[in-house]
Parts: sequence; C-alpha cells; structure tokens
Amino acid sequence: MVTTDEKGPLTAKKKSVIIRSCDGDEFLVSESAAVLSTSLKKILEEKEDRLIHLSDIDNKTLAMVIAYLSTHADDGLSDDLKRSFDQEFVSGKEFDVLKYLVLATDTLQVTCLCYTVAKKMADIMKNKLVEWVRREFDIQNDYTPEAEAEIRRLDAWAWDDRQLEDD
Amino acid sequence: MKLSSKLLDVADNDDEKTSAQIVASIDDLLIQIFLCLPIKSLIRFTLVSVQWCSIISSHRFCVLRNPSPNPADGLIFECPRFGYQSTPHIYNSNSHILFLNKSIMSSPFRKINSAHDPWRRSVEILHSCNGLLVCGCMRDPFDRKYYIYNPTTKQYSKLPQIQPDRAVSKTICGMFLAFDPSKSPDYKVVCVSELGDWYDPRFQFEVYSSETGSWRNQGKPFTADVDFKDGVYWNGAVHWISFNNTGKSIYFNPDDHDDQILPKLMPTPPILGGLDCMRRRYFGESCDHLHYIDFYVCRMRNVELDEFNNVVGRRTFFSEYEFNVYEMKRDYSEWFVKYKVDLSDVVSKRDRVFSICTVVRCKKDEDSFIVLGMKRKIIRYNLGYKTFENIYEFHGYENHLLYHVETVPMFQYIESLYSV
Repeated sequence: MVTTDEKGPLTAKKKSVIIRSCDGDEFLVSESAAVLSTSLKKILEEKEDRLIHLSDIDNKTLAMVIAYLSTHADDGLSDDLKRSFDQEFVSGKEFDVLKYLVLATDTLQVTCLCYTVAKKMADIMKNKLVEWVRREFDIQNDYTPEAEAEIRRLDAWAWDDRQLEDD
Repeated sequence: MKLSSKLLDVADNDDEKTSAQIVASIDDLLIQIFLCLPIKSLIRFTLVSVQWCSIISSHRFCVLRNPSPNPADGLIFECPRFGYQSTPHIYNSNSHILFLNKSIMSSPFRKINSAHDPWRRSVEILHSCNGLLVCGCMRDPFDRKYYIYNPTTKQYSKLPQIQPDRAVSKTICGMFLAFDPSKSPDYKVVCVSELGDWYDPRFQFEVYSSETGSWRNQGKPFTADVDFKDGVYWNGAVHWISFNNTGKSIYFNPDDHDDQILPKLMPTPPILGGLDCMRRRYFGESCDHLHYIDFYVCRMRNVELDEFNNVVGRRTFFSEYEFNVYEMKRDYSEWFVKYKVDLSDVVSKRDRVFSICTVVRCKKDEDSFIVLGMKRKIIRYNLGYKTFENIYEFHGYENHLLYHVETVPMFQYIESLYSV
C-alpha cells in the first residue's frame, strides 16, 4: 500500500499516479504508463488529482492491466519483446478472467490490450457451441423455436456439430 | 480525495449485472471480439440471440470486417463438364493450394437450382463485385432468371424480370453488379440490352436498385463497339473495353440519374496488332485497380511473321512470354504499364500459356500475382518475386483435346457477410 503525497502531485523525477481498485487496493503507477490508457490520460489532464478511483475494476484485473501498461511504457523493451509479452499475457487465462479484462480495457480505453484480449476470447470461442456462448455471456435465448430452426436450416453449412466443443 | 469516474456508468447503474452480461451489453466490445472470429463461427453465433444476429448482420459490422479496398480471398472458377454442368471451386489465395470446395462451397448453386429452377446446375456466374455475384439461369432464352448471390453466406435474392419493350425487340447482352459497400449497403445491377435490328444495333442501360427493388431505363439508347459481356466494375462505374484499334472504350456510372446521359469515353489501352485467334486479352479489377492485358498465345513462324509485317507495314515483335499489365489512372487520363511480365524463365516451351485468368492485387504490392491458364492446369505467377506455382490441375479431361483453360471464366472471391 502507498500513501498519497499530501502536498499535492508527486514531484519526483518520474511522476506517478495512484490508482485505486473497487476493492480499495491502491497501485502506484508511473504517469508514462497511466497515459497509455486514454481514459486515465483524460482524467489526468482535467484534474490535478494524483489518486484515481476506479469503481468497477477489481484488484486482480487492475493488477493485470497495470502490469501490461507498465511493460508497454518501458522504453527499454523492444517491440518484439512487447509483442511476446502480449502473447504470454493472455495465454492460459480463463475465459472468465478475460471477460473482466476486456471490460477493464474498455473502461480504461487501452486499445491495443483490448484487441489482444478480444483476439484471445475469439480464439477460445470460435469452435464452441452456441449454448456454450450463451452460458458464458449469460444470454437468454430470445428466439422462438421456429425462428431458431429456420436459421439453422438456412445456414446449415456452418453447423458441423462434430467439430464443436461445449466446454 | 476520491475521483468518481464518469466512465463507469454501466457498473454504477447496474450493480446486479454480471461481467458477462456487461460485456454482452456493450456492442463495441462484442464487435471487437467478432472481428477476430472466422466467418463460419460468426454465422453460427447469429443464433446466440437476436441482438447478436443484428450486430453480425449489420452493414456497419460487415464493412468493418471487410475494410475497403478488398483483396481477393480466393478464386472462383467453374470446372467445365461439357454440357451445362459445372461445379464451382474456390482456391484460397491465403493458404496456397487449398480448395475449400467442401466447407465454403457446399454446392450453393444446386441450392438455387433445386429450389427455384427446373434446370439443374445451369446457373452461370456473370459478374463478381466486392463479395457478391450476379448469377443467371441461362438455359431457357425466353425466361432467364437472374440472382444476386453471396457465396459466403449462401444468401441469394432473385431479381425481378426486366419488362420487355413492345416497340422494339430487346436482347440482354450483359448484367453487372455495382456494389461499393464503403459507400452504401445498397447495390445496383446494370443491364445492357441490345435494341432493334442486327444491322443497326443500339444499346440501352437499365438499372436495378436494391433500395427500390425495381428496374428503370437510364440514359438514352446509344451505339458502341465493345463486347458487353466483359464489363468491369471499378471507381463507381462499369467499364467496357473496345478490342479494336478504332473502337472507343466506355464506362457508365449507374448513380448518374440524368435521363439524357450517354456512356462516357475512356482511353482505349494499347492494343496489339494481329489476328484475334493469336491473342488473348484480359480486362479486370482487383483491390480497386483496373487492369488490362493483351498478349500473344502462339509464336508466328518466320514466314507468317514476314507476311504479317508486310500487311501491317511495320516490324512487330511477337513473344508469347512477354507482356505488359496495364493499369488505368483513377482520373482516366491514361493506361500506364504497372508490370512488365516475362515468363520465358518460368514457363517451359512445352507448357504453353493459353490464357490470363485474372490479376490479383494484394495489400502489399509485391504479393500481387497473376493467374495463368495452361493446358489442364492453372498456375500462379507471383509478380513481385517472379516465381510461379501450380495451383490447380484438371483431371479427367485427357480425352477432351478441345478443352483449354481459356474457356474457364474466373472470378475473384471475397469472403463477406453483406446481405443481398
């Protein structure tokens, strides 16, 4: 945990901001990393505050996003290293975790991370059954049985169920 | 010192919602994920919910998925089967020598035929434009049916009949699709009809608009010296080339609503001399570039060459291995040489080139290639790297000595979700 500088913005050589998650944990982030998020950048431009409270991003997700931002703000790393970091970053992550991540990237407007996460989600989704997708996204089937049968009939070629997974 | 973020309205207002529901409620996030999905999954996921279906089939999403200009995802050509049978194949240019005739082309044409047409397998592709095709059922000359077809989604719609004119006889000589998804979700179909008598042929444009769902005459009847079968859509207009040195090449913009309008003239590309039977031409569009090629398919013997040069009164260089690919400037000012092609190193004397099937431009210029029809096979010649590879071999035609690939029309295929 860090404490805020009561005298105002930090005057250290490298400016930092404090980001607080919805569960109250605080993260010290360099300004160069924070401004990679378009939303944080706007907030920093508008306000003098060095403490930003994010009421809908939890601890775990925020920690991941900040790790991503800090890596991408590091001038010492080559683009190749950053790319392989991106691959590593999403690999093996649960779909549930990715959902929180993609929401956080949307809130914070981190375009490149949003793309990386969306791509990973699509990779997981592409061979799944419709039922799996409905379950994961908590979506109620709002088609009538007749409408559903009609769509299945029209696009029959896309429904090779043998290759599709349900878990 | 708490800073409430305005960005978090969704969460603030809907405390009950799960993260999954929130992701699913933000269209832009879903679109971001959908853009990374293959087309087959997308079509399947239209069934997830009505909302998903409306996003996936929206024109906005389709355009995001196929940002203009569109490079070809494959080539559609019909294997001749002697008679009216034909099976379309797709060659996927991304993955080399893969024919996706199983998953992508699960005989869509049979579907059109069996449902609406008593003559099975008699549907012909007439024109391809930005992912959609115009197909015609040509078997019965008195009752031709035309369809707009999306080979990816297998959706099709039948065009209404063109009303015959009581005063003059009317023969349809070409049907072309004008579809630019970056400008409008609606498409137009340009039909060229020949009016009146064979000794004084005049032509008339009729335009079908998917917006109004009807045909209307556009412009005045006109005379022209072009082959209306070979029309190419590019730059918002359909273009026809004159294959004579004396003729004029023309183009017509179907968005031009002036009733008095005549087709506009454009420069005719440099045309080789020589007999028609010795030459092959190609006129086509790829990735928003208009191309023209004129080349010799057989070398003349010296005696013939001398004779020919005497006739035309100049020395002409003949080679069946060298030709230029011309491209038209967007302002129609001139045709310029885009590629100089010399096939003498890559094509053996035995493998004679019979036709140029198509020129495919890619996002990176050096990836562009040209598809050549040889006897019983189709090869791809990479314009940037000057290498070539076999992409298709026709089997079962050994006994058909008359068969040449030149008879195979080829269309560029673009995978898209545009609705018809």
